[in-house]
Amino acid sequence: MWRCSILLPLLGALLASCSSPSPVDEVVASYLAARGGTERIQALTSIRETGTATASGGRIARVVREIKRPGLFRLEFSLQGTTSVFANDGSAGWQVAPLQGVFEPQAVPPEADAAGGVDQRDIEGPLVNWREKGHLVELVGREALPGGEAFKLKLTLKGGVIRYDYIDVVSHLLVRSDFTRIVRGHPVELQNTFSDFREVGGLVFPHHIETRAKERPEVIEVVIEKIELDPELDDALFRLPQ
Amino acid sequence: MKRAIVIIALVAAPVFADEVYLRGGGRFSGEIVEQTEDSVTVDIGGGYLTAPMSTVVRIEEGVSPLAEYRERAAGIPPGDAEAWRELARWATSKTLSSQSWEAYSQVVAILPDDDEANRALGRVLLNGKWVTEDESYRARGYIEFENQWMTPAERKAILAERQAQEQADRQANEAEIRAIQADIDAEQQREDEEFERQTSRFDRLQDYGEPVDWGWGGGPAYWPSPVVYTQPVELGAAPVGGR
Repeated sequence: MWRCSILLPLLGALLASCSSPSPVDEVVASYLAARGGTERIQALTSIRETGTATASGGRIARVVREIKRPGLFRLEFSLQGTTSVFANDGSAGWQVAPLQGVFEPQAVPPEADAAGGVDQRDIEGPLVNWREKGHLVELVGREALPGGEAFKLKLTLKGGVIRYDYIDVVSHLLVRSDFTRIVRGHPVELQNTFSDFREVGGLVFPHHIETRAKERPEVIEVVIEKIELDPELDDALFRLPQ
Repeated sequence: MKRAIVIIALVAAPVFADEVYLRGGGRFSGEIVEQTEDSVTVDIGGGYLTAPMSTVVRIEEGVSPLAEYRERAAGIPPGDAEAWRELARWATSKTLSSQSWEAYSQVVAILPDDDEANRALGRVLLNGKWVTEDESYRARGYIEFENQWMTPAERKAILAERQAQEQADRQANEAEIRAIQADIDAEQQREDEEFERQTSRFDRLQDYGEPVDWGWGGGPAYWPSPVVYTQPVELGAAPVGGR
């Protein structure tokens, strides 16, 4: 009996190691390969993206987003002659936003931090080594989107936040990502659609991003005009100025 | 002090066109309408910003895009739609939304059916007629609720959710009253404070503006909700809000 109790788990482990990858691992692997491969993604140390954001009412802004390992984030948002900075030094967020009356750099409470979520400052994205990062990824179906069919992945991020990523079955790229945010105490489902994929330095990036709340008419669009890989970024840029 | 600043703004031509640099990388440019030892007030073209001098790293003199816009706009002859169009495109490239809006409005005033200008103003072609964004939302069945456009069903759901929450809170409170009358006042106060804290937390999220997601790596930022003033105000005044 004791032999069985030892041998059975061993046999199970052996079978598991010999079996083919799970469907979710296959979808994630195909997605990472389509992006340029895990090795290339993990070699990325920093990134700077420059683009234009437009919103309803004729609003337009210049955006510069910088991310650096490990988890450093900085966004410059320029409109109407003003430039605001929203940043996170890897542990806490801060901002200086003249248009919002914030002239002195100040810490931002975690719940209001634009880049507070650990996945949101992850230069690789949460699907790279998701198990090691403590996320849970499940393949929950296949859906027809306007651009074609897509695998639907449910990501339960470390900390409990849930988002749904849609991986196109043909290109294997992330074409949509949905998550729910609490706005004025009410959950609002946000849909982000990615398109205009182009290769930059061996990695594939969406150059057109559209954000809308489900069943609401207003849309925010971001058009990426320039992507720089591994730019020199001083850590001080991400720290709250003292 | 406040009155003095307003008077300056109304009667005086812009004196400077400078860029004000703040610590941490923030900055703003426009036309300085007032500068004292304590503060600097700048007309940014969509309102006025007054920053304490203690937050200012430096001020660089130069011609701001806003000043250039105003100079070019002043030189456009009446009825010249193409000149306004060119200026509108230029203002857009400088992210001067207010000036872009103004210039495209001039184009529409001359050419009411101009496709580019109408679209830039957020107008929508509906049944062969250009209408405002809001009118198009209404025509598509959306309603405006607490400054957000949504379906009637969503508004109904929000209101029902709030009502249920209020009812649940009320029932909980009544149960507590019955169970431990002596502690009810203190307990109620604690719950109110917690509710207030939660509400203000969510309200603060809203204050940070509309969410923008990036898909790759780093995620959402927000479209900042501007808090600017339609006229110069003294430091410390309550913001008047804005979109």
